[in-house]
Amino acid sequence: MAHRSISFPRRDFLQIGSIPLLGLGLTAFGATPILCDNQGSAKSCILIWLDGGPSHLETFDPKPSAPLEVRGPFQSIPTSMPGIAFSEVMPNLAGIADKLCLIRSVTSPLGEHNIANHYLLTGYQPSPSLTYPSFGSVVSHLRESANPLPAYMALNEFRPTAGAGFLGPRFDPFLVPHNPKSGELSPKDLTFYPGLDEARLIRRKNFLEQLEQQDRQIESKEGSPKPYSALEQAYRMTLSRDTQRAFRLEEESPQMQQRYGDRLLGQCCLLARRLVERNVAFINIHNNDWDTHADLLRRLKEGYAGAKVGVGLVPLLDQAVSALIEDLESRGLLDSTLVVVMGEFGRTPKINSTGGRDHWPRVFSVMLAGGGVKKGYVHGSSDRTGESPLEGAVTPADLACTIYSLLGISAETTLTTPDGRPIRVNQSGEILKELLA
Amino acid sequence: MIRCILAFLLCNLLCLATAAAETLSLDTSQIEFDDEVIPILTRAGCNSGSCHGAAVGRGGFHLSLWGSNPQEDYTEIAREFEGRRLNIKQPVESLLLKKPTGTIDHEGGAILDVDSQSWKILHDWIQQGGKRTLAKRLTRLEIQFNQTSLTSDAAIFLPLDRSGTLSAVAHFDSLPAKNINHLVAVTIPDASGLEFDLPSMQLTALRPGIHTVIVRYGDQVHTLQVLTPQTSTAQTASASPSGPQSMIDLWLDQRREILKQQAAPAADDATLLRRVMLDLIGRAPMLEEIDEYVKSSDFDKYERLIERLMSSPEYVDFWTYHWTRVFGLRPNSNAPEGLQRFYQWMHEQIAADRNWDTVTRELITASGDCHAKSPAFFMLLANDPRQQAEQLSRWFMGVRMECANCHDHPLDRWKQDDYHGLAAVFARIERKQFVRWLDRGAVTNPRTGLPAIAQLPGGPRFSSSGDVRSELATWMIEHPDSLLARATVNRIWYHFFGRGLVQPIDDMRLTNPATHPQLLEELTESFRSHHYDVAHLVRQIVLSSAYRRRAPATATESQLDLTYNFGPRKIVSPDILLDLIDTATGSLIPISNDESVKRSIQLQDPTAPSPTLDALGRCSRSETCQPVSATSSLTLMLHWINGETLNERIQNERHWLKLKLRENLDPTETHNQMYLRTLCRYPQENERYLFLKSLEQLSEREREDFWEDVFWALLSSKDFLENR
Repeated sequence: MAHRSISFPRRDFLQIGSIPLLGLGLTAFGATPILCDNQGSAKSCILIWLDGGPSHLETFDPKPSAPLEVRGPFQSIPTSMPGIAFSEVMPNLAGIADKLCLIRSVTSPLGEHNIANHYLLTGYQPSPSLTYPSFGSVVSHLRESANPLPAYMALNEFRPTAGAGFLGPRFDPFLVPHNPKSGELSPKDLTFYPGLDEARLIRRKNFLEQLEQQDRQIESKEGSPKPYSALEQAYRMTLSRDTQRAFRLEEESPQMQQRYGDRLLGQCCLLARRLVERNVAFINIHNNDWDTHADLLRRLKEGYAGAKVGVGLVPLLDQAVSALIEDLESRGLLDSTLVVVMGEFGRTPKINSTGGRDHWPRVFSVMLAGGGVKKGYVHGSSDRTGESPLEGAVTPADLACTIYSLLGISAETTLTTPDGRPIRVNQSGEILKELLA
Repeated sequence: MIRCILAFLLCNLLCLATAAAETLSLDTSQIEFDDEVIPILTRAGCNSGSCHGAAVGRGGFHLSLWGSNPQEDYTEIAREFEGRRLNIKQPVESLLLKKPTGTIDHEGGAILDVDSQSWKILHDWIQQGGKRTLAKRLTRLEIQFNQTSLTSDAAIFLPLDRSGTLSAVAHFDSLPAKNINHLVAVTIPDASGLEFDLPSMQLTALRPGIHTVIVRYGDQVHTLQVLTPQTSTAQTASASPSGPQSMIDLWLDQRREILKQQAAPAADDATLLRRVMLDLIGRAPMLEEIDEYVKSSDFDKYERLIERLMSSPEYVDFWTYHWTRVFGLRPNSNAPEGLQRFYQWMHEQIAADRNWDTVTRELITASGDCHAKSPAFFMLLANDPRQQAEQLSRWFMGVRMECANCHDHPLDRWKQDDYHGLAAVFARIERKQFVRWLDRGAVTNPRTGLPAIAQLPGGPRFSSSGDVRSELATWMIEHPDSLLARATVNRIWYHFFGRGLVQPIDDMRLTNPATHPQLLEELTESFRSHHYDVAHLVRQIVLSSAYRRRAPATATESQLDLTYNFGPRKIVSPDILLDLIDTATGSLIPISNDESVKRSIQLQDPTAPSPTLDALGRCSRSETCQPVSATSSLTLMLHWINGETLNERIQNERHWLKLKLRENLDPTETHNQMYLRTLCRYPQENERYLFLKSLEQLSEREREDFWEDVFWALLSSKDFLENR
C-alpha cells in the first residue's frame, strides 16, 4: 500500500465486542428516518463468514481437468445440478445443489485480509476517511423493532469490519460468544445474578424509573423523542423466557443436534435457525482458519493427520450449511431467509511449496440460498484453471447491492456520518437481477 | 540569412499578436476561466468530494476539489479526452454543457438549466474559444449583508420574522470591484436552522440560535455567523449568580443578550462540589467533604476549595491520566519500560506546573533512551511518520491534517504538500528504545511520486534533511494564529464544559468557527501572555459563573445549548466510573494485580488486565478515546443488570452496605448515607417517606434484598453515572 496505513487492528487481534460507556441518553448521529419497510423477500439473513479466504477450488469451483498442481488433492463430484461439480469434500451440499444459488465469478482487486474483508462485508473498498458499516449494522440501523432480541447478532466472534463503522457502536452486532470450557454458545449475563429473580429485577427497574421521573416528565413535555434505551432492551431480554430459551440448544431433538453436528459451526448454524424463528434480522456466523497457506489435505479435509472421517473445515462446513438449508426449508423459512456463505477472497490456483494455496482475489465463489434467490442456479464462471472470471464477473459491490435489495433496502438509501456527510448504502454496485427468483 | 530575418519578423509578429490578444483579454466581456468558469462549477457542486472532485474523479472526469487547481482543471476540460469535452464550433454540443444539463446521460443528474445564467457563462466561454488567460487576480472577497460590508469577525443579526440579503463583491488587482452574486458558492451546514435562497441571495432564520453560512469564491472562503434571538418575551439575561464578572462571563453574557436567551441559575453547593472535584481530581466527594462544604458559610469557600484541590497530589495524578489518555499512551514492545518512564516524566512536568509550551517543545523534539525518565517514548506513540504528523496536528494545532493526505484539504487552507511535508519532518526518526534521527528514510508524496520535502504547514520548506522538529515546535508556538495556545485553550475548555468553543476540538478550520470567536481570542491571548500557564487557565474557567450553573436536565436542553446558558453535563470515562462505584460501595476488590494502584486512574497501562474495566468499556487507546453514550451498548446493560461488576460490589459482606446494615442503625441514617455516597445529596422528603413506608412492610429477610435494590437503582441513575 503506497499511502498511509489504515488504522485497522492487526490481523490476529479480533474484536470480541466493544462495550462503550454509560452516559447521556442522547440519540446517536445519523438518526435517519426508518426507510426500510421490508419490501424485500428476505426478512432475515444468515451470513456464514469464512474468515481467511476459502479456496474456491476446494469447495464450489473445482477444476478436475486442470493439471495436478492446480486441481489439488481432492476429486470432484457431480451435484444435483446437471453439469455442475463440487469438491468431493462437500457431498451434502452437492446433494442439495438444486436449492443453492452459486456465483463463481466474484472478482476483487484486494488481496490483504483486513482490506478485503472490509470490502466483502460492507460493499465498499476501505477508505482512510471513513469506516463503512457492515450489512447487519445497516439493517439494524434502518429497522425498528420491539423484538427483545437485537436485530444484528454475531455468533462466536466478529471482525471489526463486520461492525457499524461510522454509524456508531450502537449498531455493532450483539456478540454471542462461545465458551470453550462449557461448550456453550450464549450471551454473557443473560441470566439472573445469584440471589436475584424476576420480581427483584422489576423492582429495581421501578426504583430507577422513579429516580428519573422528573427528567422524563420534562422530556415528554418537550416532545423530545425518547431515545432507544439499551437498558430497556436488556430488561426485555432478561425477562423474556423465550429469549432465554433461544440459546438452549439442548432443547432440540438429538437427531437435529446430530444433523448439524456437535462442532462450533454446526452449533452456530442451529442457533441461527432458532434466532431466525424469533425474527432476528441479521446473523453473522464467524468461522475461522480458512487462510490455508499450507497443508490443504489436513486442514480442509482431515482435520487432523490420518483422520478416517474428515473433520476438516470443508466437511464441517458441508454438514452445518446443508443441515441449515434443509432445516429452514422444512420449516418453511427458506424463502424468507437469505443464507450467504463467503470469505474475503479465493486462493491461488497453483498449489504452493507447502501444499497450500495463497491469497487470490481475482476470482472466487460465493454461495447464496433462500431469501428470494433462484434455486439451482450458477451465475458466471471462472476460466479453465480457476484464475480469472470467464464470464459474468461480479464485484463485491454488486454482491452487496444485491444482498441489500433482497433485504428490502435500496442502494440509494442515505446514511449520515457524524460530521454530516451523506453516504449511500451502496455506491458502485448493481443488482444482479439474474440471481433473483 | 533571409530565413533568419523572416524568422525574426515572424517572432515579432507573433509577439504583437499575443500582446494584442492580451489586450483583448482585458475586455470585460471576455469570460475568464479561473474567475468565472471554475466558480460556476464550484457553485453547481461539480467539483465536490462526492462528484468529480473526488480523489479519483467520477466517470473518468477528475476536477480539483472545490476548484483549488485551475491549471489542472483547464487541462482536464480543454485538452484531455482528445478535446471532446469542448466543441468550439458548436458550443451546445460540448460535453461540458450536455452532461450537466442532462442532455446526455449524467449520473449526477441535470443540475444546470439550458439558458440559465450559469449555463450561458459556460456556453459563452466555449464560444469565445475556451481559453485560459490570467488577466484578473482576486485580491479580496467582500461579503455584504443588507448592503453593509461585513468585517471578518462581525456576526449577522437576523431575527426570526425578518430576512436579509447577502451580496458578494470581488475585488481585483487594478480593476473595479464586481458583484459576483451569480458566481459564489454558498453552503449552509445546518439547513434546519437557516434557509438560503441562492438566486435571490436571501437569508431567513428558521429557529433561534447561532448559525453558520459559508461563502466560497476562488480560493477565498468566508464563514459568517448568524445570530437569531429568541422571540418569546424579550427577557434580559439573568445576572450572573455570584461574584464579579469574569472575562469569560462578559463575552458569554454579551452573546446571550443578543440572542435574548436566559441563563440558568447556579447549581447547588453539593452538585457543584461533585462537579468540580470530578473535573479537577477525578473523584467524587466523601461524606465529610460534602458536609463540610455545604454547611460552611464562608463567602470564599469555593475559591478555597479550588486552591485545595489544585494543590493536592490527586490533581497531579488526574491530569497525568488526562494527558496520557489524550496521547493514547500504551505499551510498545520496542521499549518495554518506556510506558512507565514516560508516565513518570509527564507526572513530574505536571507536578512542577511547567509551562505548556516548554512541555510541548520537549515532546515534539524528544529523543534518547525511552528507558530513562524522558519524553522519548512520545515518539513511539505513532507507528509511522504520517500517523505522527496527524497526531501532533490534532493534539497541538487542533487541526485534522489527515484530510489533506489524498487531496488538498477540502474545507481549509492545508494542501497535500503541507500534509506530506509535515510527515517528512518525522520521516527519519527511529522508533526504538533509543529514539534518534537516522540518515535515511522518507515519505513519498503521492502528488509528485517523490520523497516529500519537510516543510512547515502552509510555510517554507526546509533546505536541510536534518532534524527540524525544533523549528516545527517554534512555529507552532509563535505562529501569528497562536496555533498551540488556541488548540490547548480549546481542549481544556472542552474538558470542563464538555464542548469546545470550536467543536470538534481537533477540527479547527476556517469553515468551522468558534461559537464565541472573541472569547476564544482573548483566552488564547491570555494563555500566551501568561507563558502557557495551564493552572491559570484552569482557574479562569472554574471560577467563571458559566461553569457554576445548573446543568441541563434533558437531552434537548443540552443539545441546543451553544450559548452556555447551562452548566456542563458530561459523560464519565470508564476508569473514573469504576472509581466512583468502588468508592460508593466501599469495594475491596483490587483494580489490578499491582497493589500500589488504588484508583483506576493511576493505572498507567490501558492494556493491563482488568476484566471489570473491559466490561465498562475502557478505551484501549489504539484509537482516540471518545466518550460514548450508553444507549449503544446492550452487552454493557446486560452486564449492569445481571453481571458481576455492580452486583458483587453491592452484595459483598465486607463492603459498605452489608457492614452498615450489621450496625443496626436507624434506617433513616443509612438511607441518608446511601444517597450521599451516590448522588451526593440527602433524600427528598417524598423519597424518604416512600422508602420507609415500603421498608416497614417487609419482613427481616426481605429487607436486606430491598436495601440492595434501592442501592442498585441509585448506582444506575444518571445523577450518579454522569458528571452534572
